Amino acid sequence: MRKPGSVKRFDFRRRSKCPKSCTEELHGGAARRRCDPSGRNRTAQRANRLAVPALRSTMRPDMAAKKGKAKKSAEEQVAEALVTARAALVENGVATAKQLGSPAIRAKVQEQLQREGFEATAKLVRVPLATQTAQLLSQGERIPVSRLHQRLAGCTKKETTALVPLLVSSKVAVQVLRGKELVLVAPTDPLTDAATIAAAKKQFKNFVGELKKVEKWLADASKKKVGVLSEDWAEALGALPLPELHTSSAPETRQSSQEIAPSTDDPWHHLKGILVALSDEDTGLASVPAVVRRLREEGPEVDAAQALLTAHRRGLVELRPEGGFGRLSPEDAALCPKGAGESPLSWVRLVEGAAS
Amino acid sequence: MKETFLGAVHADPWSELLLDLPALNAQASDSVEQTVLRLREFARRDPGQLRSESLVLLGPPGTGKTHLFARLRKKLGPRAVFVHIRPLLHAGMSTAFVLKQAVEQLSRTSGGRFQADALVGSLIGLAQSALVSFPTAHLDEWRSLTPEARKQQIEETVDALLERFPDLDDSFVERLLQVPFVSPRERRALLAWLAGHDCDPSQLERIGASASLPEDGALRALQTLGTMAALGAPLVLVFDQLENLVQRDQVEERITQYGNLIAELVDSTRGLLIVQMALDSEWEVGIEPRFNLSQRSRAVMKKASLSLPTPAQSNELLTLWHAALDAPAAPLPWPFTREQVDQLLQLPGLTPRMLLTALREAREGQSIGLLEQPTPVGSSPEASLVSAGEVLPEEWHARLVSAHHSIDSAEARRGGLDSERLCDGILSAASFAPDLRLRATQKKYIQITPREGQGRWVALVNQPHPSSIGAALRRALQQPPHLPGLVVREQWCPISPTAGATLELQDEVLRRPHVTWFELGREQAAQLLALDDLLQAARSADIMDSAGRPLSEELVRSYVREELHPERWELIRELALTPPETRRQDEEGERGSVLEATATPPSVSAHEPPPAGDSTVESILLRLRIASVDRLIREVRRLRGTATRHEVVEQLEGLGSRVAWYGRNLVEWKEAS
Repeated sequence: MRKPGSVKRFDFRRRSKCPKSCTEELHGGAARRRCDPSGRNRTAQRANRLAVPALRSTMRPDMAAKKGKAKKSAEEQVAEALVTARAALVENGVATAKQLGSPAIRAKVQEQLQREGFEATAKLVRVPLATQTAQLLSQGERIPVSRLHQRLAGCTKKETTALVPLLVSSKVAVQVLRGKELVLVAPTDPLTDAATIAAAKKQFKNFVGELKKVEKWLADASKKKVGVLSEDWAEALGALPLPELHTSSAPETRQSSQEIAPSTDDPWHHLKGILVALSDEDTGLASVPAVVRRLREEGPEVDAAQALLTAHRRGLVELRPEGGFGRLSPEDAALCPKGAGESPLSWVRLVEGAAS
Repeated sequence: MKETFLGAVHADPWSELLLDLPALNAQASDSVEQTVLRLREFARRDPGQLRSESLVLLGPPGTGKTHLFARLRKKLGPRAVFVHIRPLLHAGMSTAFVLKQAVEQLSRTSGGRFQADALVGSLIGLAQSALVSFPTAHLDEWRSLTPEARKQQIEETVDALLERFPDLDDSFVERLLQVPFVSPRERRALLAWLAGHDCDPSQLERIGASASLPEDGALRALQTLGTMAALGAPLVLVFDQLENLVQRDQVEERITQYGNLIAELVDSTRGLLIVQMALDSEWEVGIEPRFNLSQRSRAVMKKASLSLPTPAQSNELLTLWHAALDAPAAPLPWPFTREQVDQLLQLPGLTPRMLLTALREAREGQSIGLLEQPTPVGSSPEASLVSAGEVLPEEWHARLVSAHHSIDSAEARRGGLDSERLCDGILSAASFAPDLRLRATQKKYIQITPREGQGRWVALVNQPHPSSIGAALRRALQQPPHLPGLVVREQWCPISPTAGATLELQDEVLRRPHVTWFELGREQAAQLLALDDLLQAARSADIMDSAGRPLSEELVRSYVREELHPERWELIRELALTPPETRRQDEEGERGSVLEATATPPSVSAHEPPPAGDSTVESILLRLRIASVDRLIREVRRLRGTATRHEVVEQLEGLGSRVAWYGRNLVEWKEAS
């Protein structure tokens, strides 16, 4: 029996039951760490292990906790919580309230993560929903609107109502009708617009009219047992605007959420702004030397060519080889990253639907 | 062989074998398709709204511009007529050139049927307000009619078309409608007339025409063709490799000419879709900024750039090509390893052509150039020359074979060579002669003039009809007598011995002290055409080294300079000769005639003096080995202006068994046994 006011302590050297719902026998610290039925705390535990390995290895847990509390300043706690939260965001795309640290420091942690580009709600912090959606679409997924909240970490069904128009207006996704369901697809997926459908309808209508003429003629001549030559039929059908099968142009390789998660160090936002400003209205092409110069103006320490190559690897931009005859001066050529066959990549274009 | 696609570095726009990934550049092809359908719709429903439209498509080398042409041709089938035009390197393009290309390509097959048949078939369907989707059925129906009934049907169709579009050229409409129903010989004659070629009398008689299409009738013919085509299968003029317009020394002139041509086509014709394809850097920096506002508003109505394949699309391309290999040893990634495929797909700036080159290398068991330690082209001149030395002889040979084919086909249709291409070839070859500075003119009869007032003018006399030859010769004779000139005619197209008036004009030309008559041998002509083709490909970065990197134009030119020596080709040497020399040699009778019956290797001098002998005829025949009597007469007259046919024939007969006669006009020198 426990005395009133006494603190319940576990002696991990003794065999005992787990204090949670698990029925597993405990065998010291290792088993204690393994025993996590919900699985939620593993990331935090791992982060804690990394943060205070020395304490863990030499002290009894209660002592370690006591000493840690005594020694850690608020800043240290925030730093620890940030490590935990970032790990959770990388792993799961979302960090729950518990992973954001104690209530006392939670606001600070949330604030820092928001500055890094993550989205914060009352209960959690997550990778921005638009970014998550863009990543899924870039992998070739087509997400029914009704199930969007299930595919996005930390998203509620209610939120999707406001999210979908936002995704469409910012050109992260395009809404299409598949069967009876609205589905989000990548903007790079070829679409058939209303005008094409109307034109096809018209063409089919004309064709049906012609078929009626043929039918009538065949009926008139039915006694003579006449038919229509297959090759003529094939030719007529071939002239109809039958849709072609377009395959998704999504990149093949799967990107980790770390790659697309925005951070203050990520020059992408910067780069995107410059690309938008410098690109040609019709072709979307921007000159790489001009982009690099502009990037350097705004931050000389930035490795501009590397930033472009990184954006290319992430499927955000298309880098194109130079195709001119001596149009590129040696100075400009030196600013261009090198591509296949060592050709200077002198033109760049934003890929449609690149992560915002 | 299915694998021929592996060797084709540059896509063949007319290939029936098309390995295509529709998702790649789907937007660009959809845009062209929508425009074609819209033009057809306007032509049928609202002719007043029918206009010509233009579209610019840009991309780096090897991104699939020419492939896009082949795809559209296949996709649209009989719903459009496609014309593929490559600009000339030196000479400008005119409406006559465009008309010639458009009509010549009507006899190309697309999707198993002649483009002319698709055009006329759908037009007949429309004119009869019947089933427009069955062009072949309509043609077959008309083919089954008696000639009189068909003629009546054609006349009715012409009337119906003229009622709707009163400004059409009725004789052009009528002859175009006849094309699918006539014999191959008549078809050839009709197409020659429609293309604005000069027709010989038998061709004119065959098609019931009194004269060829007039020189200034090209634009009206294009207007008629464009409008007619828009009703059934709109005409899509695809100007490919427009980077060839850019030349360092005469940038403004050629680009302005081109801009004027497009503006004229857009303003004066209806229902044309003008697609312009070029390398992005060249267009953006070298061409479009040179257009004035008016030209730009016509030439650049829409502009788009072609995309490079994403890694997923590159993978799909590999799958597609792998499936087309003859007996692949294993499924993909063979002939690569998985690591190689992963590396390739992640390369930035990877074009379909580079990927195809890598596949070919892997298939042949070679190392993959793109994945090796790179040696930038041009960084080491020796390495670049070695690399070029492996590729360029093959490229040259392939182009020489192709040039011979085009000469054969010109001969088969009893016409001369394409004078624009030949003129371009001469200018390309002349650019290698250090002291020769020539320029193309826009004139029909005097195609080349010296750039700085010194040098010779050149007249290409390649007409088949004697009266047209006479017109060309008269124009040559109108040149100021003190200006030296060169009259060039294909050696395999002799002037008919019955065309007395033309022969007299020829004699008059021969008597001019400053004018030289030059008969161009087949091999010489093939070399000129092949050189032009090679330099065009180099300009478009279409010649790749073994690692799939484009060879620079300078490198190709240095190969041509070192190995082919165009400055030593006979025609170029003749052009480079200064007139006083020519005169002196003529007077001294020492210079060998430039008339060569067969090709002379570049290293062998064509100006060796004729062998000594009592008889001039004997010495000339000894050199020529085989020649027509007319040719011999001309040769003799060059040396002795008063010589007569009788004297020449008498001398020939006097040679006895040393001369073999074939008929009455051909003689061959026989060595004494």
